[in-house]
This record gives sequence, structure tokens and C-alpha cells, in this order.
Amino acid sequence: MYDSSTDRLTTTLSGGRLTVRFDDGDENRIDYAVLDALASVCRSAADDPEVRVLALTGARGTFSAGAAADMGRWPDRFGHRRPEGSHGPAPLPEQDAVRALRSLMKPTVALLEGAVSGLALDLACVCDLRLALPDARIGDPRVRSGTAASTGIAYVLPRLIGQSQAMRILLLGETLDAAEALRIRLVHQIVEAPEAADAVIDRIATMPTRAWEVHKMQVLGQLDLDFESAMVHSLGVRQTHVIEDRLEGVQAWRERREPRFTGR
Amino acid sequence: MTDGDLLLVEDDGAVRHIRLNRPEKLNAIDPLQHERIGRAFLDADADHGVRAIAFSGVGRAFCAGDDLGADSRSWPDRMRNRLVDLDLGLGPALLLETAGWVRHVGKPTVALLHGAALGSGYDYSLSCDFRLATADVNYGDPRIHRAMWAAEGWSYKLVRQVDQSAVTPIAYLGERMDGASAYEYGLVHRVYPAGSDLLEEARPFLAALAALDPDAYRETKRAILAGVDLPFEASLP
Repeated sequence: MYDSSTDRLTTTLSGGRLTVRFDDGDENRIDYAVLDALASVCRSAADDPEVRVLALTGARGTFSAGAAADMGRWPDRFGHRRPEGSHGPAPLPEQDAVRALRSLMKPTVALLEGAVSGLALDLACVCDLRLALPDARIGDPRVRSGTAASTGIAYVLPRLIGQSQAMRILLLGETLDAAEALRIRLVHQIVEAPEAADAVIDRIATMPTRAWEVHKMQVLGQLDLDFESAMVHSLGVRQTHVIEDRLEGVQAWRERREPRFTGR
Repeated sequence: MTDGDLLLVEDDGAVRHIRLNRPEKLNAIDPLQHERIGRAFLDADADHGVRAIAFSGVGRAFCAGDDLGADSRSWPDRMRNRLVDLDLGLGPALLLETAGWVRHVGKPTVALLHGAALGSGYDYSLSCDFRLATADVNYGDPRIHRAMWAAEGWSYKLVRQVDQSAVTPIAYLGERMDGASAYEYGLVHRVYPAGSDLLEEARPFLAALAALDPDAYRETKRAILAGVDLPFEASLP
């Protein structure tokens, strides 16, 4: 199910954890084929009860330096829609991949190390949790190269860290080290080694996945709603999604033991 | 005045204190108590003698959560046809409504958090304007760790009170906060030493709120709560 259509994006499913890895030379750059594969993997993961958490990472100690200089062949499924402007083709495949990852309601974790730049930052920012190794260098130089970030980051980042810090990253094009990224809460936690990140991610894989989905569905669905609409939305979501693990949750509490969740 | 003594309502000058009073159950809240809490806030909002409202708990904790043992007979009559037959026999509809009433009170509302502030106690605290806590409070929303239903409106409120990056640890990971970490998230406004008597410590804070022009406060609060979802022009009165 997760045979990636390109070897520049690899997937491994084990113990509830779906690891998705950018894999291309030193920089793990992202082109249309990688975006296509990523979108496809996210959509498949949504319906697979075996997937309890998606971990996005890069091979050989680098997350990803961002978009490739040559993005490759325009994806067939956007075939007839390729609006061109003074700055090249419209970012439809980029937006689609960001949308697919953002729309996955299961837990998503980005493990940031080495270069985390531009389009790669877009993808990291629509994950629920960002863990960084101390050598992470995070930034968005697109404004410096005359490219406007039009992939959703302009909506997402100010809400994540406030408009003041978002402008620093998107308009000043500053690169932040892990400590600074933690200070402004662009990342949630610094981990000293990948093993420490594994512990966090594997623990999330044991959480009641369906409950996480119901939480996330409400949060993201209500970002642009007014209060009254949001309240109706909450009731609607909760009453149309069953969380089977609730029975185990209550039982474990009654028996004063650790719960064993299935994720359903 | 009291309501079966489970909710104490007392005035200290222009400050109305609404106090959970079920200390033997760490102030766990059942459906009828939600109704009392909501009504007490509405009454305080309508009472011209009240200029600020403090919400606190008697005993060792503000509120340790929800009374899971309560059954459907403890629902208010007017909610009879809103009952949803979930496994626990409780539905989110009532708390969502009463927490909404608390949020839209036009007067200053202050939650005084000590001991534990969890479950629907956490939900009500998000509905207040200000949260004051002791350093050693156990504060947060660990319900996800029991896969409990969670649709009380925190998803709308928390997101607008803190940066969205904080939503993951607080709402998805159900992280336990103490006074200092809650203050760092920007969720709590004042932290007092462990063991403090918050009713005493908060008196100057509450008095300052009670001294504000009530119309100015009401209009500003309304503009903030509505404006967060509006475009600039539409947000102007």
C-alpha cells in the first residue's frame, strides 16, 4: 500500500509508525514526483488502521533543503492546469502535498535535522509536532530568491508562532538554529539524538489514535469558524465519529492500570 | 445564597465568588452542577451590584474533573431531548452550552486554580477572561489519555488563547502543566507560591477589575471575542 512511486521518498511501516523519508543525495530536495508520492502516502495512511503515527524525516541527517531546482515532469493529474506566471508554474502540486499532509487527522511528527528550508518547512509546519536535533538549521529563503511563499505557509505560520515571528522567517528570510526555533516555539522539543525522537514518536503510536483524530478534526475545522458555528461543529464531529478505545480508557481507569489502546 | 450547598455564591463587595463546594469529590462536576454553574454566571452578569466574578473551588482542588458516576437522571429537564446515548451516559451538549454562557458574560471573569484543574474544570477555566494559579497546580487536559469524548468547545477557545504550536502539547498530548509552564504558554496570568490561599492573594487583582468602568469592559471584551473571527472592517463597532 505504501510502495512509493519514487525512490526519493521511502516509507516504512512498523509498530504503528509510518516513517516517510526524503532521500536524495546530500540535500534530499523535493520535486514533483516526491510531492506526488507524499500526497498519495498521506491519503492512504488516513484509511489504514495500522498507521497510528506518521513520522516525516530525511535520510543521512538532513530533513530537506527544499524544492529541487528542476522540479521534473508536471504531474499528469494536474495536466490541464498549469498556469504560468512571471515566476514559473503555479504551485498546485506543492499545495496539494501540503494539503494532503495537513488533512491527515492522525498524529504527524516532523523530525528536523540539518537543513530544513523553504518547501520542506511548509511540510514540517503542517505536522502536529516538530522535534529538532541540535544541528537543525531552519529557515525560508524564498523571499530572497524572488519567490513568494504560496504554499499555505503564510496562513499556517502566523497562527503557529504569531505574526511577528512569522514575518521574521518569511520576509526577513532568517535561518534559525534549534535553540532559537525552540525559543519561539517553531519546534516543540530538542532531542539530542534520533533515538530520543523515536521514544516520543513510539509513545504517540500507543495513544488512542481515533481520539487524536477527533481532537484534531475539531481544531483545524474551527480555525475559521465563529464561536456558535464551532460549537455546532464540535457536536457534529463528536457524534459522528466513534472512539472504540473509550471503553478501554474507562476500564483501565477503573482497574487502575495502564490502558492498551488499539487506535480505533 | 447557596444551591444545595454544592455551589456557594458569595459577595465580597462588588466581587462575586462562585465556588465549587464538593471537596470530598475534589469538586468533580455532574450534569446538574453544570446547570448551576452556568446559571450562577448568568445571574452574576445580570446583577448590577456585581463588577467582577471569581470562580474557585473549596478544599484541596479547584476541580479534578467530571463525575463519571453520574447518570442521566441528573440531567436538567430542559436537556431531556438532547441526551445522546454514549457509553458513559453523558454527552458533550450540556457542558458545551454552559461553558459558552460563562465565556459570554460581559463582566470580568477570573478562574482561581489550585490543587487540580482538569476535565470540565479546565474547560470552564478556558471560558474565563483570566486564570490565576498556584505554582503547584495540576492543570491541563489529560482526557485524551483515556480516549474520552472531548467536544466541549476547548478546540475553539484554546486555539485563540495561545499560539497554535501550544495546541499539540496541551490538547493532543494532554500534557500536565504546573503554574510556571501554564504561565509560559501564556495561559495563566499570575502564578502564586504553592500552598497560597488564592482567595486572599487574588483580592488586589479582583479589586482592580471591579474598579473598571463596566461599560468599557463589556464593550472591549465583546470586541475581542467577536473580533478574533472577523476581518478588520467588520470588527469595528
